[in-house]
Amino acid sequence: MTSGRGPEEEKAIAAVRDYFEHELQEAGSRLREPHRPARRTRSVPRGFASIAVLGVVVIVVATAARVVVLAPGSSTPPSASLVASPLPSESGTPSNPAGSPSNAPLAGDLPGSVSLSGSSGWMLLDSGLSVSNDAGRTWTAVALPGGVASSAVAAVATAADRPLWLAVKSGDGYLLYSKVDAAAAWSSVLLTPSWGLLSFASGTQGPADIVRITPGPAGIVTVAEMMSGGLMSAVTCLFVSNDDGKSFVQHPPQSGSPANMYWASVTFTTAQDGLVIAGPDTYPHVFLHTADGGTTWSESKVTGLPAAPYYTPGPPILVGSDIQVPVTICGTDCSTNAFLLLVSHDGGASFNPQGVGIPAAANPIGAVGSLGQNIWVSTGGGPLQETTDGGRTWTSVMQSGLPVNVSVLDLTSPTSATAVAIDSGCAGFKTNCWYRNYLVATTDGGRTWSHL
Amino acid sequence: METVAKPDALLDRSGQGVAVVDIEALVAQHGALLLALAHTFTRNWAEAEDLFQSTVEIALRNADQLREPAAAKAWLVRIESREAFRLKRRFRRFVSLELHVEELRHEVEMGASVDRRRAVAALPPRTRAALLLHHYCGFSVDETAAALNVSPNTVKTQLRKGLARIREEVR
Repeated sequence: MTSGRGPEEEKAIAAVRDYFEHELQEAGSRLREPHRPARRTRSVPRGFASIAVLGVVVIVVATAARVVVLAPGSSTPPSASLVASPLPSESGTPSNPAGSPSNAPLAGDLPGSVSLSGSSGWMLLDSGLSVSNDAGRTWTAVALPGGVASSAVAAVATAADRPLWLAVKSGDGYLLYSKVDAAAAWSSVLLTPSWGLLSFASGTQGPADIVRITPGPAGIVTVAEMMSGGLMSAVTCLFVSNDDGKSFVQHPPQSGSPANMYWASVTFTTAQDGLVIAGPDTYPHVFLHTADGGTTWSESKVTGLPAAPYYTPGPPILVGSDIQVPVTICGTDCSTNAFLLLVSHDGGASFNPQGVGIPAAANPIGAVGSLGQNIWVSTGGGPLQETTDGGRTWTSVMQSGLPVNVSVLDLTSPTSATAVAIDSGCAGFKTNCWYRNYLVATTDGGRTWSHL
Repeated sequence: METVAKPDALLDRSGQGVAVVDIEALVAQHGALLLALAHTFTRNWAEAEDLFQSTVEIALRNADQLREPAAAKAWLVRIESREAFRLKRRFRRFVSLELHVEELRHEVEMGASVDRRRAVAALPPRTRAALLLHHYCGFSVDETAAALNVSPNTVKTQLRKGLARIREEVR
C-alpha cells in the first residue's frame, strides 16, 4: 500500500491520518455527549462584535422556524382534552414515546411547543392553532384561514390589543393573514421579496425560507423574510407596516450591507428606528441599527461590557421606548455565567449596561421574563434572580419546583408568573428525540412553583 | 429458532423478511466520520452539527434509495458532501461574511500544538475532504470523486497538491 511513496509523502499521509484521527475523536466525543444545546457555547474573539447568541434552546427541533403568537381575547371554556392527554405533536416535532421511564408523558403535558406572552399563550398543532387567555391554564382552538393547513403556517404573532397575524408560504414569499379579533374574518396581503442583491448577482430569484413577524409599538409590525445560506449566511427582505399590517414598505437587502446575515430578532421602537440582532444562524451576535426604517443598517455602539471571551444576547425586550437586551457573559470555559442587561434609550443606536448585573455562577442563565421594571431570570434549577428596578439591582430568590429547563418565563404580575418547562429525551445526537412541554406557575414571587 | 445475523444497519422491521435501512444504526456506525467530514467542510463544530443533522434528515427521507448495505458509508458521505457544497454554493457569489472566527481559532489551536495538523487544517475544505476520504477512509479515487461530485482527475490533483503542501510544512 505504501510502495512507491517516498518518506516525505509517507510523512504527509501520516499527518493527514493523525489530523483526522484527532477530528474523529473529537466528533465521537461530541456524539456521545448527552443532549447539548450546540448553539450555546461558541468560541469567538473578545469584544462586542463577538457578542454571542441567543443560546436559547433552539433545539426544540422542527418548530424552530415557527414563531407563534396569539392575541389576547380568545376567552374560551377550558379545553381539557388539549391538556389532559399528550397527543402526538405537530409535524416534525418530536413526540413522547411510550414507556420512557423517567420522562414519560404525564397528565398536564401539552401536545406541542408553547409560546407565552403575558396571559396569552399559543400552540401550533396538527389540528390547528390553540390559544390560551389565562397563561396556559385552558386552551381553545382558533380556526385557520380557509384552505390553510397547520403545517403551512410558518409564523404567528400578536400583541396586546393588536391583530393576530399568520404567515403562510406563497411563491417566493409569504402570505400574511391577519384578523383583528377572534370573531373577525381573515384578511391577507402577499409579501413577495424583491431580492435586488440576488437578482443583480445571479440573475435569479429565490424563495424566502424563514419568516419572522414582530409587532412593534403603535401600529408598527415588521415581517422579515430570509433566504438562508444554511451554514453561515442569509439575506433578509424587510417589510415594515405602520398600520397594523394593512400596507407595507419593502426594504430589499443591499449589496455589501452588514445586515446580510441571519436575523435572530427585529425590534422597532418607531417607524424609523429599529434594532436587529444578526449573525450566522448558529451565532447571531451583531447588533445593527437603522434610522431610516430599515433601508440601511450600521453596527450599534455598545459600551461598558466587561471583558469576556464571549457574550450571548437574548431576545430584546421593549420597555416603553427603551430596548433591553439580556446578555449572558460566558467565562473562559463557560463553566460560569454572569448576566446583565444592555439598555438603549435611542432606539438601538447605542447600548450601555444597566447596573452591574448578576455575578458569575455555576448555574447557567436560562429564560428571562419581564414586566415593566420587574425582570426574573431562571438559572437552570438554581435560585431565581429578580429585579424590580429594571436591572440596576438584583435579588436572589431561593425557589422550589422550577424545572431545570425552562424555555419561557412569563410574568403575569410582579409576583406571579408562568413558565414553560421542557424535558428532553434526547441523548447523544438529535435523532429520535422527544420532548415534554408543560407549564408551571407561581403566585408568591417565584418561591414556589407548581405544575399546571 | 435460527438466528441470522443481519448486516449492520439493516433490520427486518417489516416482519416480511424485507430488510429496511435503520438510519439510527447507520448514524451510530458512521456518525463520527460524518461529523468529522462536516467539520472539514465547515471548520466550525456548531455548523458541522447542523450539516450533520441535515445529512441525517436527507438520509431519512431517501432511505429507500439505499439498497446495498455495503454502500451505506459512501452514500451518507455523498449526501453530506453535496449538501455542504450546495449550501455554500448558494451564497458564495453575493454574500460575504467575515465571521470565520472559528476557522481562525481552529488553525491557531492546531498551530500551537502540532505543526502537521496545522498544515492539514490550512488546506481548502475540498482538498481536506478528498484527503480524508482517500487516505483515511480508504475510498478509492473513483469513490472519492463520486462522493465529492467531482471528476477523478480533480481528486487526483487535490490529493497531489494537498500532500505537497503538507510536505512543505512538515519537511
